[in-house]
Amino acid sequence: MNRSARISANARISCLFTALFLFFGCASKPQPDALYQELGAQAGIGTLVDAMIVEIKANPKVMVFFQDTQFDYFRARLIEDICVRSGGPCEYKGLSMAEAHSGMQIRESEFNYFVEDTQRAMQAVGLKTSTQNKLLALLARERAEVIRQ
Amino acid sequence: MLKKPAFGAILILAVAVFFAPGAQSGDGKLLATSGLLGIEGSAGGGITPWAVLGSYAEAEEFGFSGAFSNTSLRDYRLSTSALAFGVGNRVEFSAAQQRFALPGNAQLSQIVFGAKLRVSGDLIFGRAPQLALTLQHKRHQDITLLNALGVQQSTGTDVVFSAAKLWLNGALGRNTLINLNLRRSSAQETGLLGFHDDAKWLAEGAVAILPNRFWAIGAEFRQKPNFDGAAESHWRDVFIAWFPKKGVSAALAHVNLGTIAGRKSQTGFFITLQANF
Repeated sequence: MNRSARISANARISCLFTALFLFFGCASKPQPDALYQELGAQAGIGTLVDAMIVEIKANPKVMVFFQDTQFDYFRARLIEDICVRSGGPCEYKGLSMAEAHSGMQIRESEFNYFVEDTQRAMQAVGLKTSTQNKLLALLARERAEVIRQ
Repeated sequence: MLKKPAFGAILILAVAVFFAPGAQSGDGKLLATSGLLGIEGSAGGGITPWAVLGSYAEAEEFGFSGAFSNTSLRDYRLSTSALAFGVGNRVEFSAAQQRFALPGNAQLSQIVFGAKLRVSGDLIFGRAPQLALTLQHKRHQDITLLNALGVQQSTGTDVVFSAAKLWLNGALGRNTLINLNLRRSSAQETGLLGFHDDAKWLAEGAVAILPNRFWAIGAEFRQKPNFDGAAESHWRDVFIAWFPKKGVSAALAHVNLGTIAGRKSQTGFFITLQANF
């Protein structure tokens, strides 16, 4: 391979990597509280959690796990949880995810029903699809501590 | 040699899961995660199976998917009807009838029996990809025409290793799926034109982006073999799939299948309609 061919091969590879970076959005570093702001900070998260509670109460497959729930308490803890995970200035004062779901034996399907309630709630409050996906990605990380506890 | 015990093992596992206490008809998987039944009846995309399992059955559930598809090319037409049975988001059994209309009035007809096992991982949750092993046993129903074409075998079994991952908030902030397959196959034009005595390793890939949870757009690639110096064209498509609710789904694809049996530029449209229950 001569020199110019090698340079052009290198250029092609670096171009490909640049394209991949841009494609996957890694080129710029987001602010640590970017998602918190996208969710509309404290007020926006409160509205979202209210919409989630509406969906939960309307879904018997999910509501079965909330029979003994004090919804005021649940609302406050869920707002804290989403706030903390999205980079907001909050402190989570609830039980760990594993403790909170201990003994419930939540199945994979039942976790998914909760995800669907969350999707409907995010749609109802008009979050952008990319914001919805970011929040889902955060909630997805909690799954291992939620199901089959 | 290996094929029959593998089929048996998957069958026994499926029966065990099926009769597990509490197994019931269900649709606990998330929308679109069942993929669609492809031309060979296995769930995934249109021209490549993926590591996903057909139907919306999650753990402790079972479910069915049924689909009709039609691919109209310049000189050929492929129509398929397929049925898949999913158990516990773990095992999938499928059967597909393919009718391949050749120029003139001739038609070839093939049945594909499929069995897929999710070996490990999860499509969405956790870091590991979902890994699956698929067997596709293909059998021509009328071998008269096939013999006239001078084909070596009228049956064959493909073995497909698949890995799939869906990244939430992936490319362009959208949920993004990538599936890669490694296939061991002796099939000529996926078996539609019979089977060779030898087998080859073939690579397949698919990528899909979900603009929202009801739609997916993507592309597929399927490597094709070169038996006795007769290189088949690799298959490609770009598709749009619609998942309005778990019960129904549909997809439209523009396919480019290259040259088939000497006839060039076999492009056209693939359309499929699917019900899940």
